Amino acid sequence: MNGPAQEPDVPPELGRGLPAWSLRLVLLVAGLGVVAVLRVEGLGLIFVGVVLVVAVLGAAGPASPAAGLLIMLAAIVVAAFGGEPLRPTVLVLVPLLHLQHVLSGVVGTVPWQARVHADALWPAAMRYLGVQVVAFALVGVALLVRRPAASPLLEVAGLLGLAVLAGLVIAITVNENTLFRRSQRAPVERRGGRLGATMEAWHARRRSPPGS
Amino acid sequence: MSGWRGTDALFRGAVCGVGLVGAGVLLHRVELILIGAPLLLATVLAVRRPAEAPSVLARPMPRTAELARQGRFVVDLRPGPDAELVALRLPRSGRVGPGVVHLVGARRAAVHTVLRWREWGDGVASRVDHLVAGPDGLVVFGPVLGAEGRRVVLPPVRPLPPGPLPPRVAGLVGAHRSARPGDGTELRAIRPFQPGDRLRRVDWRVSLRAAAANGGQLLPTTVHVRERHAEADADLVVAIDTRVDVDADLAGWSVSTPGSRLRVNGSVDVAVRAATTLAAGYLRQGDRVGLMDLARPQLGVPPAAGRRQLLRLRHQLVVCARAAGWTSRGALAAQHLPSGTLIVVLSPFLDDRVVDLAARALRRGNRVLAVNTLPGPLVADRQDRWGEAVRAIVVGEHRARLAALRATGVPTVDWNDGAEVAAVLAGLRRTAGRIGVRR
Repeated sequence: MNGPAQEPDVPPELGRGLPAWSLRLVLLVAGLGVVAVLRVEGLGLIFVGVVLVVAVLGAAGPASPAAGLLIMLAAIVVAAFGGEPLRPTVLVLVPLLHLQHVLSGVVGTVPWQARVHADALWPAAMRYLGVQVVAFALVGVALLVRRPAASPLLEVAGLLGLAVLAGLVIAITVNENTLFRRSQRAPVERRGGRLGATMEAWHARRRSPPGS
Repeated sequence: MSGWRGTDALFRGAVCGVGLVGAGVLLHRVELILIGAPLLLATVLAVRRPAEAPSVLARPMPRTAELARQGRFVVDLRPGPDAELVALRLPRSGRVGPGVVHLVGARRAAVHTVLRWREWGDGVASRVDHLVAGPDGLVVFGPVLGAEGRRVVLPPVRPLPPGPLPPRVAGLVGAHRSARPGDGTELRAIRPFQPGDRLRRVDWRVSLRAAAANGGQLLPTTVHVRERHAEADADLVVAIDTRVDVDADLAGWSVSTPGSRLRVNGSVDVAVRAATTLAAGYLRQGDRVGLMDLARPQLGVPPAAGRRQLLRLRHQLVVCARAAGWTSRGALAAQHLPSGTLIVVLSPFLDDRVVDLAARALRRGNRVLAVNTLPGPLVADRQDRWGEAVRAIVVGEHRARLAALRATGVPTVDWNDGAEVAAVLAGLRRTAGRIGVRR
């Protein structure tokens, strides 16, 4: 059986993929979940409205600082209301805010009309699950060492661990060719040199540079 | 690492993670540590310092494409080992303008999509813009504008309904009888012998009859020969009017189309499709076909035969359409029109100039057929209170121009699928012998 010969190095056709707006919808749902948790915590309606606006802005502009603002607002509210540190609302907030962070990072690279293919999400999803396992292991550790006697030891260990992690992040991201240098340019063009500029808000009708 | 930069996600992960965990430890708030720890951990796991610049390259495609055909557009990805996401803006099948962005995994070596050409013409058909991102979109490279791939999509060749053109004959010359005497098969006249005539052309029956009438003596003056027509290729010149490009909607006549494109089913679109169809029909029979642009005579193509001429005409029609635009004086250059040529004028006939040109060509001895390419029925501008009046005036003037053409002896016809044109061409053959005969 000899079928028609196929070019050997041609990959399979790119499928349709998921619409990027559906991931923004997930982002919005996660944001609404955070709002609901904060309301359960006892946040007043006016502040709930403020957090709701931030959540909607975060879904509309994933590459904006809105997601970071939402995370900080939620953490501040949870800390301000006090109470049992390992209460259910906190345990719900942990995966929701992490999802908000990860999904905003991925979805923020493309406009809402884009198509997202499964192989793009798979590594991020695996990493998310792994981090959540570690986070809930941390919850388990916290449940075990809640005794007051263990607090100074835990404090020292926590600060040391934090210093190591912070140093790691700084070592990776900041050096003489720092990622945060605003004057760096991609070979052809990048959007205005603004931190956080991605394809998400990139103008589609841009002309190609001469000679390209 | 030149070109890579951090995003808001990196800033968020680092600041929120370190800040919340640090604040939690210092304030003895476990919940802050629990919220901040995943962010910090995710950032540590995902952040990279890529060492090399990624590249995204589109494989070259043919510069010329056929309408309604499809081609495979392959893009090779070399995002580098530290990349996880590649956002590609790929061209959309059958649509003009920037395409849809696809977010794919960076492990793919290449992606391919199928492009189908749905509009003929010249333009940017493929440009791949890209952005490469590290894990979780913490660092990105780009967006980078891709190089533009220009492509010419040739106007389609539709078969003309059978009937109008002479039947195809095999041979090195065309199917049409020339006005000149020659070595063809069709009898032209019987005339007295002249020096230079071949003996085999002598018509002995007529010669003997002439001799008998002259006293029975066969003299050189009584010898008659049969004269035959030469057989030659017919010349067809398709004259298209690219000075205006209008469609049925009067409101849009004064508005240019986005990207200076032609109007779909507009007068130039119809004219080009009709020109291609007619040219293909005649060239298939071995006839000679040329092209003339009434707006820009320098873009014309002299008559010639063969498949290569059809390709040349289609390319030139794209050039004419690209240069389409108003010129006050159209021209039908006489020096480019051999006498006896059939001229098919494809125009919306929105001004008197083209009527004068057609009538003048008829007076020079050409056969002229006027094909109306004005889409109809015209739709008035509803936003304008004078819209209906304008429509009535335009329709009336247009009708008067076509009537004037018919009065001068130029048959006029609308272009639908070519059937009506075919009938008129057949009529031209009956009235003037065959197309291409000098009168």
